[in-house]
Amino acid sequence: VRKRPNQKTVGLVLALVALLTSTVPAGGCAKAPPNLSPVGVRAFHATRAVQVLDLVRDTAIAAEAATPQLLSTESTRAVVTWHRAAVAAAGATPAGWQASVLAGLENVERALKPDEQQVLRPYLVLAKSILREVA
Amino acid sequence: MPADNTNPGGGAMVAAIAGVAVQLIPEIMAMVRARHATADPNAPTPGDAEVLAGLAQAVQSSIATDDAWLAAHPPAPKAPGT
Repeated sequence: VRKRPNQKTVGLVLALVALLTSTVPAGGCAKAPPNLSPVGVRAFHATRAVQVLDLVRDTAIAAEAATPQLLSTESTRAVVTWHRAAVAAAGATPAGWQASVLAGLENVERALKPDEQQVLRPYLVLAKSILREVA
Repeated sequence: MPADNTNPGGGAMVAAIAGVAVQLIPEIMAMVRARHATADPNAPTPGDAEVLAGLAQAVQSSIATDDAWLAAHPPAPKAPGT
């Protein structure tokens, strides 16, 4: 007889997702300090975007290393490769990088298997939301 | 009440997802701390130079992590003739 998933574990997962969805968007959509110049404001938002992109990448890496593996090494490589280009663009391009980063993210998401999409979905939704917010 | 066998492996999957989530706790807490630091009215307000330096630092550190992972997980070489 197989046991049902531990209710405490399910509760922990739900609590973490709730925490994540309540804190990351708020952090990502934080207002830039009013003393910043337009260049500083763009850098402020780019930094927030880098933080949420890191979250997607870190989740993919952790899922790849999990037992059982939740994300294939090939898919994780695609996520990390996209992430590297996205972060480099956010750091190097003063403005207008959001659209290409978002398009790249959607391409990576489409390339994932359905069960892999499910693992990354909350983080992908957050990343897209914040990228649209700072665009 | 009969045991629910409609989702074999579901427990392992939930446990694995919980494991991933637990690994992300430090990062989540750092974001929470960063948010509260920004919201503190007594906290010093960063200027352009600090924000630009913070972005450069975040980008550099992030790319270093990517490069380390990619170096540790190179693509499998293609079999000859393929």
